Amino acid sequence: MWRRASLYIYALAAVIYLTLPFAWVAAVSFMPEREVTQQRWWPEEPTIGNYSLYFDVEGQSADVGAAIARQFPRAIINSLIIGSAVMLLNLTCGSLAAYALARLPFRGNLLLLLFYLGSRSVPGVAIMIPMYLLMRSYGLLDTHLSVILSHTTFTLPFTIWILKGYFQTVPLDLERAARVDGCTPLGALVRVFLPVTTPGLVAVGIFAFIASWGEFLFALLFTTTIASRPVTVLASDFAQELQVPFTVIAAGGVLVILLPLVLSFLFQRLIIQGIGGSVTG
Amino acid sequence: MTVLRPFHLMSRTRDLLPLLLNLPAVILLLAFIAYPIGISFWMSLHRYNLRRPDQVYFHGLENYATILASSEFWNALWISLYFTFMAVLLVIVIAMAIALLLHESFRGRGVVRALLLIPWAIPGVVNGLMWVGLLGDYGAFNAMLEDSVAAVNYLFGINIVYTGMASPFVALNAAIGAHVWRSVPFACIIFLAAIQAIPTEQYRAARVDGATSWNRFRFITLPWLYHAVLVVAIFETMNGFRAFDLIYALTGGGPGDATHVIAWQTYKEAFARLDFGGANAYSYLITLITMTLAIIYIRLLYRRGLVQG
Repeated sequence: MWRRASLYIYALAAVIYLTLPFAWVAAVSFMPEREVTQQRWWPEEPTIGNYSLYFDVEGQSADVGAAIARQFPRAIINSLIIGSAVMLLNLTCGSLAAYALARLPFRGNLLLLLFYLGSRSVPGVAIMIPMYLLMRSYGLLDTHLSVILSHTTFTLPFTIWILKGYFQTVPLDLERAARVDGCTPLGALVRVFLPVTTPGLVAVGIFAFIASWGEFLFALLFTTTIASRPVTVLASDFAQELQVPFTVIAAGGVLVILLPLVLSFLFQRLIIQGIGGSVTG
Repeated sequence: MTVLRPFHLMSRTRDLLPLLLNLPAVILLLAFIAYPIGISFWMSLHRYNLRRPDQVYFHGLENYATILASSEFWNALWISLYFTFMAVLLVIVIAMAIALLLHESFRGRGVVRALLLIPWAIPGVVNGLMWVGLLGDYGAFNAMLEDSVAAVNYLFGINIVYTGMASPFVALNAAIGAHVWRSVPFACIIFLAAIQAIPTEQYRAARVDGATSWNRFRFITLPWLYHAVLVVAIFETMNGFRAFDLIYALTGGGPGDATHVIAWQTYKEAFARLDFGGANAYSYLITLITMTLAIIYIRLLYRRGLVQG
């Protein structure tokens, strides 16, 4: 009995720790400005006024922060374009490489594996200047492509690592059968192997997307105008503007978080399996 | 040198397909990670300030000498070390506590597991902005901290003045707290996977032998988790040294230089002072530190035979 009760108190503490910071910010995003100064935990007179700033694309509102808020829809579209491209590149390059590493014994596979592991440990700040100069010399600054390429390279090693572990759990007999039936190795990969491994592919795809959505350093360096700026970079403008009311910032924060949050809830099981498998696999 | 035998030739062509399959990934990583690292090193040996583009010349290890002699570097390194050490420690403890909880069966466990992903899904910049609010003048946590400082003052009859984020001590530790909050889920999931891999017979046997729950944790769970703890420790060490987006949004390096972690210092050096040579030397030092960690990581895993080629 006591054990049960203490378990639930323990669980409650964990839930409070995990949700309270975000819950407060979400509550504030529905408050009129004066309620924040009264240090409320719950909006007395809930309003969507903070959010309407963000969808007022044509608006002339002179409120502090409105100029940033107005650009949000465009920035979210930029983030979507970049994230989807990063996801696709990860899935194609990643599954090809992981398949070879998991299935086809070849000389140099250990070297490649170490190369991938090594590139995963390179910090972004270490290569930011050469990357910036590289993108500048190819005229790619302020384009989606520059951000897509940088995000793909830093997510790819993790993708390959996880997929390799996942692929090794699929029984070999499946492809043997396909090969006996006359498939080429590539045919066996595309027709038999990939369909079976869809859950793993979905997991790494979502990973890559969420990682790209949240990345900041390269996106900050490479993009300058709303033509390419993703939403994290736009949101960081709030950190530079001192007078923006926190209610408005909170609404923006919720908008940025919404998509990754929904995705992680929808694919909860796959994500947890994927991260867990990265160590045990 | 022996004569090339036919089967040797055959295995050469057999090697071709897997290499081909790896080619796109390798090209991307060579172009955007390996090549920039090389360039970064080369530039770090030059005097290269964007303000004086006409004065770019080779001057050996001068940039490194300047950095190693500057108090800014040692300050940043010290802050990063403190930041990283505290973050690794707290992440391991909190994530372990939640993982052990999620391993128990109780009603609502699925809900807790779903909520676990909230901090993970939040981008670093937005996390920073969130904690600006939470710790700002009207923030929920600011009020709590104020009250607890007042309570401590009352209980011990002392007089600590709480100045919120204007205090270097509060700002640095708040940054650590926010960083830890976002890092806990990932570590927790790794721990949970490792705990679930422990054979249950061991617990049953221990229970039969009358082991206390602490002893069961100490002598069964912990040894089985050695590998997972190691992975999390190294992973979080790298993460700690990279902390940038959070600092950018939460403290902007301030107050003063209290939160000048090494990644922030490098960014400043490059894009505020436009000293690309010096900044590259900075980045190279970070690369060396993280690379050393990666090598230790790989070696430790290999020694335990946990990575197979």
